[in-house]
Amino acid sequence: MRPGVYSLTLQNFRSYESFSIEPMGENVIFFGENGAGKTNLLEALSLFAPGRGLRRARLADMLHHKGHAPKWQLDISLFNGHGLINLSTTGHISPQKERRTCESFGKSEKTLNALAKYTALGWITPQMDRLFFEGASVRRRFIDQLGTALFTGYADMLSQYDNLVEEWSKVRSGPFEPQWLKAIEVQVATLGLNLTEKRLQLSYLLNDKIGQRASNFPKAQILLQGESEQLISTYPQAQAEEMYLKTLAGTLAALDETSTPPIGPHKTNVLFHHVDKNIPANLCSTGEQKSLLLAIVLAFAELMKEYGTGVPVLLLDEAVAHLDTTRRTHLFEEIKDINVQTWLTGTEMLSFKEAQTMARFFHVLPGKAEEVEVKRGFL
Amino acid sequence: MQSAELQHLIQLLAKLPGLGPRSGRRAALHLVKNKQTLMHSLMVSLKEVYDKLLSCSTCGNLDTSDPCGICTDPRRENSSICVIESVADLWALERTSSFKGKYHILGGVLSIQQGNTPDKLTIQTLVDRVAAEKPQEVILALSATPEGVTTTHYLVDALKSYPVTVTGIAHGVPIGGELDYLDDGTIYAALKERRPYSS
Repeated sequence: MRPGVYSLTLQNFRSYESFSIEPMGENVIFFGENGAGKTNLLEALSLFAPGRGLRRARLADMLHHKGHAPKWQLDISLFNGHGLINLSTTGHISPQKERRTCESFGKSEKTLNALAKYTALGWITPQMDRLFFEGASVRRRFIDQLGTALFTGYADMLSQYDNLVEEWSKVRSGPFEPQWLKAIEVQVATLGLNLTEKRLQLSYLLNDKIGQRASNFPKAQILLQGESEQLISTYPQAQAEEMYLKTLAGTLAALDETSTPPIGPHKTNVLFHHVDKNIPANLCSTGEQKSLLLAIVLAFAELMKEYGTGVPVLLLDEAVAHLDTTRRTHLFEEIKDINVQTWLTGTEMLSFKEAQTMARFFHVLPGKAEEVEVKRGFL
Repeated sequence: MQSAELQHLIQLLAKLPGLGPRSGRRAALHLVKNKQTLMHSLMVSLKEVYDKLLSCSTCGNLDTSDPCGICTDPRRENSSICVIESVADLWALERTSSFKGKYHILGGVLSIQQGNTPDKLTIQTLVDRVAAEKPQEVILALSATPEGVTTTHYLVDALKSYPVTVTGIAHGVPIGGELDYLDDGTIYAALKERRPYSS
């Protein structure tokens, strides 16, 4: 039995009033017309990772249109190689506020970050086709999504750092004694360097994995650029921390009220490179960019299997849309080789012709999905 | 339909930490069913606590006398003050019977987002106590959260001009914990705060 999602249940979520599927760890292919609700199912799965899911939507937007109750609920049963893990997450919506909670084995977890102990989710969406052109914050978010899936405690580290940066900005612009700001800066420096180091570790692991893999997709390289990265790669920890603190303290007067700290992982620039062509990813063709992104995510899926503590699951939304038959065949072969449960979506069943022996097919219709028995050679 | 009085009781119970509307109803029903044995005793106890409970003006502990029983206990050592966030932390430390000194309850940790600015906490009272009581050691036993650590750094700075040793409780591997199951931050803290073993 392979680790993966064994069952998924949606209640009051998006286009599904009540829906259940039991893929038993096998690969899943959802096909159906535009707007049928394929991405909604992948989004439901993505909400078993800390954060806002693959669409980054508001919780209220995820409520079923009939909305009998002011909440939606998702339940999942995962097999981790030893036993079943039952998780659930609920979106509570009220006019005043919305919040998401989660439970593991029927017990409430303190924060959503607890989900990272059990799951390791990686995904590609059509919106990510523009990843290499997007602003630095979008590219950082992509890296952080991978870090969350791979490293225990990464999600906590990230939210603690974001929280500290907010504290720093507010204390800096308020009428408080300088020692409060100084005390926060010590924390910002320590946590900022730890987070930078983790991101660097992730990029080294990924670049190594991409380099080693026998893949038909072009080789990508990830580079992290920033002052904190520079400090870590040049100086020992204590000295790097000291210089980080100096930079933080030195610009006190020069910044305006809304400023964030002048140095740190929130300023990191994530760059992607096409290794074989030796050009930045944003100069590649649309098809090449899609292939580079797939190369990164496939290598990452292997890393999740080797290093991650959670159950690895890959979500590929409309990933085959712009691929030619050869590339599609390569993609399905590599998914088979990596042996990580993968959920794919697409409008046409025929786009998955080469995957007919490696996945279960579901025809998605508004509010439901019917399994289609695919016999070898049928498509 | 419940009576207005019962409904009010349920609403009040539901506001207690860990309870909600459903458990509030369950608790109210349990009280009603055990009117003599539980509800009456609870009423008496609540009134007694309400009338007599005071906040110690020295350390912030809750007691029926001010200064509290711990501050006036002659068996407690005056040489050390343990700084904690809340009365719950004091109870946790007292349960272990491992600390024989005095306490100082801060009332929270510094967090501008939660409105905990230095003047809202009893930081100045602590500094005044250290100046007056001249303890040999101040132990900072605050949460290992970024806010807790920020407060620790702030207090170290605030106490640096006094002849007192400021220490902090250890952060790292919990008793019975296995390294393989710990997050990177905890392992990092444990390694950073390693200590030598004497032969």
